[in-house]
Amino acid sequence: MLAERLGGYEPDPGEPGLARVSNQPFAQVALDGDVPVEAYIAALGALDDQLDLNLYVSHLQQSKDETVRTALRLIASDRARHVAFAWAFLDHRVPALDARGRSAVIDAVHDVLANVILAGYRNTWLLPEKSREPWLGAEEETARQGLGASSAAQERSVLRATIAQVRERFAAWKLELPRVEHAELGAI
Amino acid sequence: MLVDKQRAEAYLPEQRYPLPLSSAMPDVWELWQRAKTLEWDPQTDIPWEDLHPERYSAEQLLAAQMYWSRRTWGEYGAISESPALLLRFCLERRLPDLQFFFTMRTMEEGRHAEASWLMAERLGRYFPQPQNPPTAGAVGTHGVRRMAFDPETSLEGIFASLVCAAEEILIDVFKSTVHKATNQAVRRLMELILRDEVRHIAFGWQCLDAWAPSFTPETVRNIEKAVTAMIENVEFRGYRNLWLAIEGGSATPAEIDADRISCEAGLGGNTPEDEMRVFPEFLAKIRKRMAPWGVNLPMFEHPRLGTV
Repeated sequence: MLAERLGGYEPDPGEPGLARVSNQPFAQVALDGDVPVEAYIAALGALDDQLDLNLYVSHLQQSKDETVRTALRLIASDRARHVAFAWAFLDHRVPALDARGRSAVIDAVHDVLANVILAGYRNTWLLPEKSREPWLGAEEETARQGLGASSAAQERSVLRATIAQVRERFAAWKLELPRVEHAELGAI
Repeated sequence: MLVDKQRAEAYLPEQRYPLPLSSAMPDVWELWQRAKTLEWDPQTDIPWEDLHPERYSAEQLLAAQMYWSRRTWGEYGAISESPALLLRFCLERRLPDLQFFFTMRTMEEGRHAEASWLMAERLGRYFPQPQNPPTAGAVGTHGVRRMAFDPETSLEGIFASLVCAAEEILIDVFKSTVHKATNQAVRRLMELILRDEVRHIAFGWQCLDAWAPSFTPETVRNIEKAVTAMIENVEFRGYRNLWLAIEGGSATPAEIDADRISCEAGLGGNTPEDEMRVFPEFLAKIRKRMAPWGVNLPMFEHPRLGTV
């Protein structure tokens, strides 16, 4: 509705790279018996939802339009519950996991971080260069006008802070999330 | 987790784009809009202070506890039907109207499970399982989750059997017996569940009516098979009411009689006489309603209902 009321919703990214990275088979992964539920929740709830929440909060901080701010606030408050669920679930389950279960959690989080998030699932500036436009330019302009986005620089710091936050919380369970190498960001 | 499996093509490719979100089924969209404005909370929207369990005999309370426990098991099973069907919609690239509506349906089934469990608890006791475990096979599931992932069962067959048969009879019985619930807390709960379920049923009929012109003979056969299986293998095994179980299963006499005793106490449930009246009417109704689609439902033999 926000896109529509701003003048037009775009039903297709129109760019194969963006279409591919933004269309992940997570619903099927949830039913995959090889993926323990703790690993799924860690990767999708504790990492990806947490990043999504932190990005929403960043967009909210940059927004000036009251309607957009209200929409972002409402979305963020729902998302905060989703994230709280993920951490509460993991807090309940992780301490009882055996070595294999713990390793599955770390592998899943590492996989989603390296191959989904750092491939640009949440952040357009992480897409391969040829797949970024016109979307990156549009986000920069949206951020400048205070209509619900953050600049690439702001998103970069949110991403780094989120990974640090996730790593710190995992450390409380003695789970170590290995560093990930990224061509532009270096070791993260 | 993802990359290796995607490389091995273990997951079906999902086609998300283009993703038009304008409503293509306005009636279904309207149900989604209504669902968003008709929320209720089992903890606060039922007049629990009017329940007064102390006014009922031990036999009546036990029957009502069993009845509401059984309702809880069914509603709890329904929580996971909706996401299973959502995934099916996703893989078949069905219209967004369906997907939006089903997100709310999941929440509503969760609400019904919580409310039914609270009712059993506040009447004195929730039973977490049937008294004789084999009965669990009859009352625990109607197999929709399994059907949702079975490519042999069309989505039309699932809708017809789940929504237009299983949910329809449930609601027909609720509608015809809600006036017997003299307890105000019970009656309010039944009314609230009824209000949600009416939308679930309307959804199923609206979808099937809209799709009917494109039904192939195979779709029609699939609907007939799925509805027949729901009647014979689910309803007649006692999924909703153990009194209907043809072979009796392993349910105890107390379990079988619970619906009647609870109903007569005004605490929810229905009597065999209600079933004898409502079930044939329900079958006649859906038979007539599905006929224009080319669907011919067979007559069913039941030792207590006769030929229906």
